[in-house]
Amino acid sequence: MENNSILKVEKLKKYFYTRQGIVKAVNGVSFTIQEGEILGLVGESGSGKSTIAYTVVGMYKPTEGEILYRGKNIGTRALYRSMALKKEIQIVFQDPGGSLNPRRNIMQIIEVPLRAHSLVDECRNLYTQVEKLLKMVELPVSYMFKYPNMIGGGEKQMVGIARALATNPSLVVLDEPTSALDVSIQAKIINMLIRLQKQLKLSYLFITHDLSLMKNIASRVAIMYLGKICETAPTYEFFRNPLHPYTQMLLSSIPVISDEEEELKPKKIRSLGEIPSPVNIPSGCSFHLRCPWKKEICIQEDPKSLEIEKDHFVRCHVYKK
Amino acid sequence: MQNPLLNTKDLYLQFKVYGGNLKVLNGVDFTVWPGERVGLVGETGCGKTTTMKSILRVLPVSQSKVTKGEIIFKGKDILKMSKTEIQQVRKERISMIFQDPTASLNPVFTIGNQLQDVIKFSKVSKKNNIGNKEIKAQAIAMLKKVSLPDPERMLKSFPIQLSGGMRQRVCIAMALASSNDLMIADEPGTSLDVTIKDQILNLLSELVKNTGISIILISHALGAVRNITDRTYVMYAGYMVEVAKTKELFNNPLHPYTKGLLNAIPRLTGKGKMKGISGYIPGYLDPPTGCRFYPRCQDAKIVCKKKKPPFIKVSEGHEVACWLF
Repeated sequence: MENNSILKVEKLKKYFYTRQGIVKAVNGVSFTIQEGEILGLVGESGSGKSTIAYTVVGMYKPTEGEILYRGKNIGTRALYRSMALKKEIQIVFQDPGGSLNPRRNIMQIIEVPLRAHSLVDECRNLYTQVEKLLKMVELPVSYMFKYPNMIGGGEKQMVGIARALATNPSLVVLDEPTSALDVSIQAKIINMLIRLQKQLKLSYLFITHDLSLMKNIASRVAIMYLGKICETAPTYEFFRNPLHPYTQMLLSSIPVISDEEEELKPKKIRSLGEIPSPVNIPSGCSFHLRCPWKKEICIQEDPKSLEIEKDHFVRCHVYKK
Repeated sequence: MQNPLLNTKDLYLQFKVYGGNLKVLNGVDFTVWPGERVGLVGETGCGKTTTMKSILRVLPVSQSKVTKGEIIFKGKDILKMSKTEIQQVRKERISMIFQDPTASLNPVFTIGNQLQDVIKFSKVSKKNNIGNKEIKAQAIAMLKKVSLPDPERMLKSFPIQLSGGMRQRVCIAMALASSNDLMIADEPGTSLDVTIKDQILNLLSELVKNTGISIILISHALGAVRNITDRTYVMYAGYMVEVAKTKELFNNPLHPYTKGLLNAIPRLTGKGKMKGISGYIPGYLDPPTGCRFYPRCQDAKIVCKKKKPPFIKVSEGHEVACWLF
């Protein structure tokens, strides 16, 4: 089990120093991704999901803690990482419009990683490579000479995925890849991502705020709240038996479209309050301000992560071993 | 039977652009009865917001043109109203909540300023000739109604000091202050988080129940519409393709587009593979003739290409615009 992990994050912390104070965006997060697994990271905006993604790909240097890729510590900025390592970890961004250069055509966009990693030796091969990548993401080859503003949002995201796959990575970080898209297009992209994952034996760190999407694709789910993970479990177990009050609140506020799904949701917990600012995190358990089961101890002490069932971890005072 | 509160009949609207005319609305038939909660769903760019804006007549006059049809509100045609009349309607009768609460509040005035202005200029207070103190009291009552904590402090704060959810609540309070008949909520939760969105939608449905005004909920999240509306319209590329009682629509969708939309949503049960609809919404510059959905439709027939399908009544209150029926 241990040896099989492709990415291991240990007590990761990332603080940002601002004029208002220290923003504790990620505050002690540990998780592992096994080879060929899809880990879903779910949380509200401001919970630090994207910060984790950016730290993993090396856009930020972690304040504390370790990021182990196949047992090797990579907790530095991308500048100090080796090319071979950068090739293995790639990212797809949330906003497909903003992450493509509007002045370059699709060919030029996709060929950058190919050139940077010297994956092609001749110009002729460049064409065949880009063609292959476009076919992989189900885009017509004629798109090669189009510019980003000529194609739709969903197609832009497919180009983003093709660019990430260009270096033949083993771990892809997907930072809300479909949240800016319509449902009919989202379904297409998700299906494609699942197919590519099986085909190329990739591992995904899938970041999203849509729990019902997780049910369909992830093998394990982790819930984040204010820079900390409050529950981790295998997907099936997670939806069968959600334990943390925040998880239950999230699940009960999903709008669903059939009665069958309605029955699956935990009993209605009324959503209360909003996520506090990460500059002054509440004392003790950071969720106690919104928690329906609040006790005296929650205000004073931060709960520790407990393994309730196999692989099912919860960070809440309600549960005792 | 009662008269409908709002009724658009066969509405056609065009935008003038450099390349020609964008035929955006293509025969919208839309009815709202008094006290009803209506949902309107569709993909991005299908004309949901444009329809609502044309009802309020807030589209730029120089670029947009209604080529055909009428919008009847309480027996009067909105399109033929004079400027003062339409202003009266906006002031007292219909109000709108926009998608992005940050952009719809003025950042340089306090919440109190903006909210009290709305109350001051709605005719209700003009008639009664009430003073500033009472306006303030009303504003505080309004903020309490949308369950904002500490309303007195809230009046003095600027929009930037509030979070997204609180701002949206302020927008709802403003809309409530000036609308007596109809509230249009244009994707009120889309820019917010799931738990906050849930709160906002609950608040809206409660308020509507208590005050008895009608509401049009525009959304592309089908789940949200299912929870709080009585009747749902599905819109595609400028016209309504299906309408039914919300329950009926979700249990028994008929139009191929509605089916496709429902299939595309990831289910909590994890059952059934998600299927997208292939292709994209057509361009409005040169839309397909006949049924605008036929290039993406699996069951397209020859007649679909030639003639626009009319609304066909399938059962009581369930109408579909498709040649299959």
